[in-house]
Amino acid sequence: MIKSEKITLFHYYLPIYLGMITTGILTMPTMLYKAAEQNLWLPLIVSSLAGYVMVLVVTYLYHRFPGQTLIEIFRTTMGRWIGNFCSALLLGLLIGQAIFILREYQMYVTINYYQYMPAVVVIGLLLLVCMYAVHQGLEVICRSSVFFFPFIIAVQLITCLLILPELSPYRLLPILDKGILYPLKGAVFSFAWYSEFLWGAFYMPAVSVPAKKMLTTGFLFVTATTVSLLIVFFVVICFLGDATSQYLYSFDIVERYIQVSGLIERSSALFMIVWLLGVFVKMALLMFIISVNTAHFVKKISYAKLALPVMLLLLLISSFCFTSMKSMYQNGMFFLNICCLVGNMILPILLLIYCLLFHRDTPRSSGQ
Amino acid sequence: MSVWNFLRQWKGKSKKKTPEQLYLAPEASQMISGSLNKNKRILDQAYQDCADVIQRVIRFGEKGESGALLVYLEGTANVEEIDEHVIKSLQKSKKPVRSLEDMKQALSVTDAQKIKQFADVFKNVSDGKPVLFLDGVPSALILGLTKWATRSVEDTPTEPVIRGAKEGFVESLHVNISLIRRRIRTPKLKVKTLEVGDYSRTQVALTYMDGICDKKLIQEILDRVNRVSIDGVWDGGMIQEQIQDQRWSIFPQIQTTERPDTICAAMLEGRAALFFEGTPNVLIMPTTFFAFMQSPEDYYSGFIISTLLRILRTIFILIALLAPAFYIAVITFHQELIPTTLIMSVIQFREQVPFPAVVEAVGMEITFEGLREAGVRLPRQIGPAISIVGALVIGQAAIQASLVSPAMVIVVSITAIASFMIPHYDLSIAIRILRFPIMIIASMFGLLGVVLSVICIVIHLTSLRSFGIPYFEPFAPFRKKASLDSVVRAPLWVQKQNPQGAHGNRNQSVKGRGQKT
Repeated sequence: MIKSEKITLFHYYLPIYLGMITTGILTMPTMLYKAAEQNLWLPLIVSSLAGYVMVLVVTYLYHRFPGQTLIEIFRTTMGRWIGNFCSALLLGLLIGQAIFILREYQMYVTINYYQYMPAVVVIGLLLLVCMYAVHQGLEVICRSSVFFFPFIIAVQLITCLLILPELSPYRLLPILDKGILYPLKGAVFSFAWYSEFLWGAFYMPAVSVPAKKMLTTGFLFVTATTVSLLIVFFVVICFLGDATSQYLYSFDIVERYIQVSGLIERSSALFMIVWLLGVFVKMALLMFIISVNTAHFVKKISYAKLALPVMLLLLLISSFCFTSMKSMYQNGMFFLNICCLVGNMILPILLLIYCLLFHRDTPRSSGQ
Repeated sequence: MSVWNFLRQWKGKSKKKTPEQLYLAPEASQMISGSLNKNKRILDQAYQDCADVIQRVIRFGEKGESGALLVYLEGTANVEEIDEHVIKSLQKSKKPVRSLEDMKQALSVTDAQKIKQFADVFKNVSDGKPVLFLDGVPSALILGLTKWATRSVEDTPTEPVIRGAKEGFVESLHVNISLIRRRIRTPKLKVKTLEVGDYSRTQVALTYMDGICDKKLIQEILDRVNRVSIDGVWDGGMIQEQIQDQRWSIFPQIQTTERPDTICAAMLEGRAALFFEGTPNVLIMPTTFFAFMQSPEDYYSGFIISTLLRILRTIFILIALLAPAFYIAVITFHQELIPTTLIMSVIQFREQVPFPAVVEAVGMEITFEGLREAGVRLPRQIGPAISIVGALVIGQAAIQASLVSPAMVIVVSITAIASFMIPHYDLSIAIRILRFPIMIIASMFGLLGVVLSVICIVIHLTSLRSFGIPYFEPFAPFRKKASLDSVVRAPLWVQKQNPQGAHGNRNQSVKGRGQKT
């Protein structure tokens, strides 16, 4: 299915990385600040462990079951019924994550720019573009993310650089004033975030590299994600301080305060543009994964043809779920954390344990 | 179902004719006879109502006992040389001429080949080669004495440069090949010829560098060209449309040029070129998106200058594509993005204009495209007239009539300048066409629509391939070495250290893949 498509390791991790930092910089500072205040770097670093673990899991599975996606591995190891049940559950949880990301995107766009545009239209536009990307295949999604990558990074970095004169580093103090355990509450939230590194397991057959390289590159990308998010967090905290928790999109606020000779004062559009690029990469990848997984159930239909039904399904579900800001950030956040923790962490780790305990018959040393 | 298939096959079979049957006369299957009269009868039958076919019987020998028949097309054969080297030589010949070998000796013509079938006679006469029959011999001689009327080598009006060679290709295939032979002096420059077109039988030459270009690429090109079924070929574009990878794409996946230096540089990078008889436009394949943004002059005028020029071009491509759409989006949806003082004046002018921004913009852009098209098609003598009228339509008069706002005129003018900055016409027209849907989308969805349409274009570009090479190459997928010669141009000595190239390996064949034009 996706075996005919070949991507490099850089292409393999890049969409995940871009998707994580895009959604991460928008809502994560506020969420984490509510839990950990100025020490929000601690939960982030702690939860990045989840990223490393997920990369380990994916690499082990990649090494142990070459040429199989996660869904196929579930079926080959756990038998038809349990395997099918688990993959259906995974599919459902992935759709849940997609719904949340779509709503998050729609809220951001609606609140900041399009108060009068119906939510269905905003979501539908993005889904249409993503459908086109999925239809063209994994290679195209990865390549376009390579193309967008410098723009996304450049705009974020320039924003951080230009705001430098306004920063006051003392806002980071006091460090750990309420002990180590207090800020760690926030880690639950960012754990879910980092678990997205599992997504790679759904298109593993497209890469062919030694497992060792896959592991090191994966670790590198997890570290890069942590570093990128930390930079943004520091900028947000140093600029907004206590006010961070009052703004929903704190980095967006930071970027509005940039002033360079009266010229680059209204760069919020630029910020939205690169944010859209990032959210497109994330959504296209997720939609691709959902289509591929659905294609495992509906035999003999290629994932490209499933792009349209998947898109309609997502549009339909997302137009009923989390219709208000409040429901999204209260129920939706809980829902997302459950989806991510169960689908992206617990299920695969259970699979790994199961493989380690009961499937030792294929004598191959693990890639760890 | 099977009956239907049978019917379809049967129908197809009955209609199908081989190309030879199409362009040759029915007499083609006959062999040349020993009798001159019989040959003449067959020729008369085949060339009935062809006033330009000259048949001349030559009597020679001491008593005029030997006879020969000369056939050629008026205007394609070199008549002076025929008089000098064929007719005079034969008449002066002392030895008796009894076989074609004797005749070859008697003639002072280098290129003389023996043929036995009438099919070859018709082919060669159409190619402009005179054919000589000898009485009593059942075969004939082709004489390589062609002389087609051609334009002399002139500078290229479509791809002008300030620095660099001025000469461009002409309509003659042989002259064009000689122009590149003069620049690359090695037997490794290979030229393969084939014929395309059922009736036109246009000569096509595929040139490439042996050892640099991939063998598979050559085979693929030959296969694709041979698969084309067409009555006549008058320009490479007619073949390009049929052999490119994604036929429904608006973006050109094969590059066209009129410049010998461009072709030579491309061949040294491992690309192949396709020449056509009768057109100065030569196709280069494979190619990439960024090749269309480069001018050959980039390599002649210093790397700093060319890097800056290339960055300028890249910016202006974005302007050509997005400026009007961005203007519409900002005016319609995102007024907060405009600085306060500017928005005041913009609003002041827009108050007098009765249309929404999108109507204004689309109208102006269509007017401009119309002007451009009219300027191209007009005879040179009345060309200036259109620019005077154009200045009225897109300019002060339109503003005074309150039909458009001054800001719109500026946007349209910048877009026009930007679209003229793209060095290759094929890409510039694609960008200009894409502008219109983006403008409409911008008027409906604002910046969101603009960004999503750009994403769509990028998806499309990254999905394209040109003969197996990703179209968007040095950037997506990213290739470090190749990107040294893309939007920037690294100094030539840095590029020279590039260890790629000069290998018959596909991955390395197109050196720097997609850069030099």
